[in-house]
Amino acid sequence: MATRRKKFDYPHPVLWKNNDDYDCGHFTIKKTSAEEAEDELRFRFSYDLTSEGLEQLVRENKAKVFLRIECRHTAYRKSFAFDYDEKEIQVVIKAQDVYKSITIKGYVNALENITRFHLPEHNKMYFDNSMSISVDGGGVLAYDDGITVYLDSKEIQKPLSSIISFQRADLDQDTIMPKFDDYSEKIVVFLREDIYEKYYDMQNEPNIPHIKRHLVGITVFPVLVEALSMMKNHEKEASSEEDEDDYKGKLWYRVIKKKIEDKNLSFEDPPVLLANELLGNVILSSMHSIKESFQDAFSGEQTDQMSGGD
Amino acid sequence: MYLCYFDEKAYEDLENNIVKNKDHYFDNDDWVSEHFKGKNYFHRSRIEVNSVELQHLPANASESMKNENDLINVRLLYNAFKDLTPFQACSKELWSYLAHVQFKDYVHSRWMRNPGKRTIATRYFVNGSQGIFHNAISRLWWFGHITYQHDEKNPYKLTKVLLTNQQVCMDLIDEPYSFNREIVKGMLTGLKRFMDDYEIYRGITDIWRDCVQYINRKGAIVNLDALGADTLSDTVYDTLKKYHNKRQK
Repeated sequence: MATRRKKFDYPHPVLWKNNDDYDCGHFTIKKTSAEEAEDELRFRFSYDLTSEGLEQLVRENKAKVFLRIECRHTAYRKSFAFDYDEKEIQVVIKAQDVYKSITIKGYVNALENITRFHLPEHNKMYFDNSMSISVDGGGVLAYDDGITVYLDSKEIQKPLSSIISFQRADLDQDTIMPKFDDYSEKIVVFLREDIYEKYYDMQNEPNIPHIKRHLVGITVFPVLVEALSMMKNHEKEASSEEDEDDYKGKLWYRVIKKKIEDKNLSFEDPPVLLANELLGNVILSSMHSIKESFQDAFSGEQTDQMSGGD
Repeated sequence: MYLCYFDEKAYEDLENNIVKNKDHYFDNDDWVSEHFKGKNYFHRSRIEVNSVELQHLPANASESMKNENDLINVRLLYNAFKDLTPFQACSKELWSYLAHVQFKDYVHSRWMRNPGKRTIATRYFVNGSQGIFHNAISRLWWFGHITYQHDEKNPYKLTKVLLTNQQVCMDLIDEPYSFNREIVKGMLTGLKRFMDDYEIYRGITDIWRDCVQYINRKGAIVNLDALGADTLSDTVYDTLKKYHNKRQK
């Protein structure tokens, strides 16, 4: 037997992908274009509504399609209406009013009070004709959870090194502690004071040419494996709005995901293999660079010995 | 003057050590620079604003004096910082710096004379999604921002309504829809019309709260954002009238 979801239970039928108030039909919104001008962002959004009854209400100007655009980073929240005969809308937002991402939700709203709201496509199990269903002006008739548009497309092209930040921390036992859900958009890797000093010294060591590759293998690789394991689980779970806000929306998450897609890899692959691929076969190259470092050291020793022999 | 803001780590340090530093907040001494002992704990931004002195609140101020003081300071701060963008105005490091350093005497006079358990956390820092409405300085800017009417002779007309009293203000700004200026405009215009028509300027709190609760219930089935300020104003006016008449019986 069909059950209605508790969340967003309206007293009248609402066309929404997560309920079954309607036997058929759907309502979705999508972004058709985005353009960045000097001080403003221009978007075009379109909607797709398949419900004869609701479409007729829109045509008769008894209902209207709206977008609600929000940016949680700048406390921006505004509503935009489609013309009754247009399925596309241009939205212009001042660039300074939004940052990082915006969420767009779609609504079909009643423009006036509707008494005896009965459409053939309503689910008769919940809303049969004997019921007196009315909708107030402004009432939600259809809803789309919408989309998130990220405004930092250039940022997610950046290299992996840009999303991992090493910081010193006052750690007692642990030598290394990555934080994925920090206030930062990066993965913050806290290193114990003494480890941090060594890490910093080695990073800036000019006499060992392959040292940076070693460091990636020692520090970035395990952190990335842990991140990928978390992401793998996260991708499997049904995402909710809160997840989108707190986790999937993080820059580090989106940079890694973009790189996986670009390389035609999949979260189905083991995290160790993924991390190795994303870091340009770091296992093999680290092996090589260790070998080369040994060889350099060894040949240097030989030279010293030979010099000493002189 | 150029606005300064706390370094991320400095902000975190202060927020993690509220209990340890509690006495400094009460004593209002110049403790922040001493606390960081020569470390670089703040940065100077490229945001230039007009200099402003906020009006301090006298000791033992009544509730109505607090409301008047808030209104004066909203005007002072918003006029001086009007060019700040909403994005910049969401920076917790900025507002926290201003509360701790630049306007610390004002903050102390306004909030530290009779503090509650979370006064330091909410007034000196920015917590949660509505936190910018609670920080001692950012609230002044945001009250101005959501109520300022560019096309009105008195652009702060609705700010005055918002600051009718602290409870009226809190009941509205704690709702997520208060970021939509059309909704705020509609609700405050309806409230002002009701107060003027019925000449009720005191004792409005209870019916306003009932009205906000009604709007919240309505918001569960109606897209408030799309109603428009005029419709919402009428709804608020009618609702206040209904609850007022009910209480009169």
